[in-house]
Amino acid sequence: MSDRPAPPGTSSADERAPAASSPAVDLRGVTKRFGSVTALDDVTLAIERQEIFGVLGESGAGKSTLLELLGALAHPTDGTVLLDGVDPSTLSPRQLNRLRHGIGTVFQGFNLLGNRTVRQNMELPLTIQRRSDPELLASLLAFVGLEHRGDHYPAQLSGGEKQRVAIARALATRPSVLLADEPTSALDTSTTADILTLLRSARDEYGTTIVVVTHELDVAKAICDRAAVFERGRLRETLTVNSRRRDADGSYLEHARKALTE
Amino acid sequence: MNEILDVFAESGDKIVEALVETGYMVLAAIVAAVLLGLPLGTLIFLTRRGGLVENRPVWIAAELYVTIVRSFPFLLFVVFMIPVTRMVFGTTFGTTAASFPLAFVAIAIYARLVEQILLELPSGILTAARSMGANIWQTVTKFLYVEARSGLVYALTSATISFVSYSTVLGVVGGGGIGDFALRYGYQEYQFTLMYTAIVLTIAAVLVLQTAGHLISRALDKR
Repeated sequence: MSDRPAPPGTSSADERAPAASSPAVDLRGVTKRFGSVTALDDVTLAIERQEIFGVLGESGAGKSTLLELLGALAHPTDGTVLLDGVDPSTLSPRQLNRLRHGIGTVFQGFNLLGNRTVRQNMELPLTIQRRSDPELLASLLAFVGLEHRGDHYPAQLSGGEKQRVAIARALATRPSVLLADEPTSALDTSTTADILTLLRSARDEYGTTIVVVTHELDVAKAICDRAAVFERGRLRETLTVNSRRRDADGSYLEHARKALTE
Repeated sequence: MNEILDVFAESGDKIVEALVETGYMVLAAIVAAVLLGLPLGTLIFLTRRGGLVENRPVWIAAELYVTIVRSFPFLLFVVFMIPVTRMVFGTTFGTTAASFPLAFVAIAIYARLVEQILLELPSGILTAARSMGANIWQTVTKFLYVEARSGLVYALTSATISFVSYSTVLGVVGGGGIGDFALRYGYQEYQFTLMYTAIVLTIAAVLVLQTAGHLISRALDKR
């Protein structure tokens, strides 16, 4: 999709030399079972660089499990997951942690540290990598529109502001991939629009590939280039989002197909 | 009031000495609780089933220590520990030797409190640490302890107050302290004013500790 070089922060893992043309995320026949429960069933899927990709489905569809795999937090039972061309299941724990440094995650519940200021929260991923970059932090604060909030604590912020901090934190290491887990489900409608705009500009500004996991079709409609619809662990269809049309009735899949493609 | 002043005039030096002994024993217990109880409680949290570094043998060993030491009647524990104390200090008598069994109990008490505090943290803290690629040490020091710090301080305050109470028993092994003072010079010599003075002083000390712990804990909590 693009030959833009991988952003800094992804190049530190020594055994990784991703071909610029490989997809950001490449799943091949991926199955994940927990005991007798199959959470993901033979999923094959490629997410291109700098794409905003939606993962859609109702609860129990396998979205959370997929996110664990994309975050290199779990390995598949069968099949292969390639993140930037690297198979996480072949890495040592130390290498895995380094791979995770190149992946940013935004959560539904923000997951900020309440005893750390906005700036300290944003700095956490850098601290973990024993790095420090005050200029980057200042520019990120400006990017998310919280220039004057750097010394505030999360408890002093609104939900939308907290998610902005979380996005800035996820971007602090200039990750190649940003995973967003229901990023707007805890927010009201107008704040949701702000956050989605911010995610889109993160892609435009930093060239970050963004995977948005959501059950809200409007969210996918608003920012995704493509979206995969999951049902009970199976990838039913990958749709190219037509952002000019609106939704209709029917099953979740029909709903999604109409909402996203027509 | 005059009686209390008389008590101070007569036994002031002994009271001060007894308070210093209690302070010494309780301080030793606090040091043991922080240096060993905090890591032990963290270990129990990390190695539990479904924990970050699940490890049954380690978890069982740590659990056994905490459970057994905490359920041991303290006076019997002190006696039970006499051979070990003698091995370590060459004597079983005196304030330092008396601090030894108290330290074991302090470690167990604080470890259990630490574990409970860590269990009550929102799980999102751990999720965030994992997703950022934090190693175990970073997860504990940069995430868990940061979010738990006010609880940890407050728990240490409650534990310290228990240590004060436990330390009064240590007179049996020559530990001295304010409890021993109240028993020997107050109760056994029928100087009840002396006894009540010692009790009031202990209560006052506990109130000061409690208030200080509460204030520090509140100042640390920005959540």
